[in-house]
Amino acid sequence: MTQSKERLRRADPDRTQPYRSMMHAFGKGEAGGPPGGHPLGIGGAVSAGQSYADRAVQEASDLVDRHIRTGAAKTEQIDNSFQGMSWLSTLAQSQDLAGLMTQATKAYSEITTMWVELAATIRDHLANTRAPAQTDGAQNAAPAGETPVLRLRASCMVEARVDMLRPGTPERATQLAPEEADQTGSNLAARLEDGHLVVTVPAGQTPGRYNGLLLDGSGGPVGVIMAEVFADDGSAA
Amino acid sequence: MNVQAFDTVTPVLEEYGSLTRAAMDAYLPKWEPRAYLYDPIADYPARGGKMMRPSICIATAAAFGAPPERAVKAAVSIEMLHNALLIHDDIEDESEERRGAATLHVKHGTALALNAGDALAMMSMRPLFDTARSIAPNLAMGLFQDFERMGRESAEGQAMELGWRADPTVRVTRNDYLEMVLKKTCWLAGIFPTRLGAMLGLSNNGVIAPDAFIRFGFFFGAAFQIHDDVMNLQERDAYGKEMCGDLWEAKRTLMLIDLAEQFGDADTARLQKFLAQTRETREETDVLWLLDVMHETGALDRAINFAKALAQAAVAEFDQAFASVPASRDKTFIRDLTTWTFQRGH
Repeated sequence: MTQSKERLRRADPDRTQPYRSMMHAFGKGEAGGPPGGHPLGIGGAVSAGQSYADRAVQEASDLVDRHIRTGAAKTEQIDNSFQGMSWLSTLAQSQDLAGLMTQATKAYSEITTMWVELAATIRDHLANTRAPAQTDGAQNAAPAGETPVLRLRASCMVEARVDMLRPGTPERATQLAPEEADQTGSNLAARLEDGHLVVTVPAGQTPGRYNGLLLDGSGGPVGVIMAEVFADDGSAA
Repeated sequence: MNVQAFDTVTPVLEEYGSLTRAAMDAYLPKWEPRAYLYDPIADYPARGGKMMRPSICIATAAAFGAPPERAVKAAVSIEMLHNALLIHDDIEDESEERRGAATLHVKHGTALALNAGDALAMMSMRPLFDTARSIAPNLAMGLFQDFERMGRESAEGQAMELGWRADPTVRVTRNDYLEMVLKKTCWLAGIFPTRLGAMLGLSNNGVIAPDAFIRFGFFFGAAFQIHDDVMNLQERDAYGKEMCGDLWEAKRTLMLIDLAEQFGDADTARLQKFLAQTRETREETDVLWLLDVMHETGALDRAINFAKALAQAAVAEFDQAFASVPASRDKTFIRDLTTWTFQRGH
């Protein structure tokens, strides 16, 4: 083995007594050993290089604090980008690309599995439904982060629910498109009225599952709407 | 004294490791193409491993009052992703051995190994989906946000290390190294498993602070990584990777950074030349020279002491992070795991 002539040697220890201040950085008292002691004896007698470790741990502590601060900022930046996905709604308005929104809706429902009972199953028949006045959706949107009350207008048996993806003010709703690509049913109309989300299921609607999105002012999705239309005999598609 | 009687870590690792392996088996397909995909995918998980990451997840959930079954699928997700990243790491590091056998790309070629790693990483989402189905929507979203962040941090850390290797002239400091470890190692090894476990806890209703467990996971993971780097320079039989593999790969470990800061002109030039070479063209005399100097200058001892100090800091952070949790076998396991790493010879 070849060796360099410029060989370095171990430095003399810069202290000969136990160093006991390290854990002050972590709110600990003298020695700072783990509660109840530990079979490894960590925190006990200190060998050469302890002051190196002392400085290095303090720097490490500062480093992770910076990481926490910058991490929070980056996360917020990403969240803002997500909320600004106005392209999603723009594309969804295109007849040709309506399927994209359906896919996005399915993705959200898959990823989040948010089918909790935020809105209980509603079976509301047309004859019993009061027709609220049409108002501007933006002015009558539900409060930020709250699930809008769901109103269902249908002449058949329908189950529907709304799941919020994140805090935000829903200002409009997309149509509910069939979940399956080969499903023949036409889209279901959905709109925000007077703080309520109104989903209309016309007579003769093809049984099956339909999905749509609640969008905020920037076009970012804040919630998912799902409706299941049953056959006349009450069976699912 | 019977040391085994005081081993609060190994039994839990075995129990939760077995639980995770059994659950993971259901997520590893047995259909075709087996030879080209699913057999390679199942290779690393079948080689064993400590199962530390999934055990941390399950134990944290249990410490927060949840039955282990509630967290086991999340633990499977962590272990699957860990194995996927190992496949990619081995390719990127040009490693030849993993857990006592040839690395996946050595056995099957880089293309198949890369594809298996991709598939396993994607498939690791499935048990997380299944976990999300059983919890409240806000918790499910938090779980996926953390998964995304962990993946992002890990990739950034790996990029830092690969970048240093691609540019041997760049000066790397100890803090650069720690930042790299924080991202590459600590998020997957400590931060994410504890956060995920706590999000599945019952006593806290799954609610955790945005920065919960980051400090604990960092100190724990950094201690673990530095100890791992030191062990890489130890005897082959006691470890299972090729001896001094990190030196052959010219990884910027704490010890190498320490040396670089102390070297004079002549040794610096020799080190620079070594760093600029490829693994195949590096010579054993240089590897042994670096190893010898690490011993003689105390760089190895300093790294070991630093790792122990980080573990001590991790214990202190543990006390704060788990202050609200009553004493339990699982809580003790997590605390003792922070220092157990120094007992392992594997």
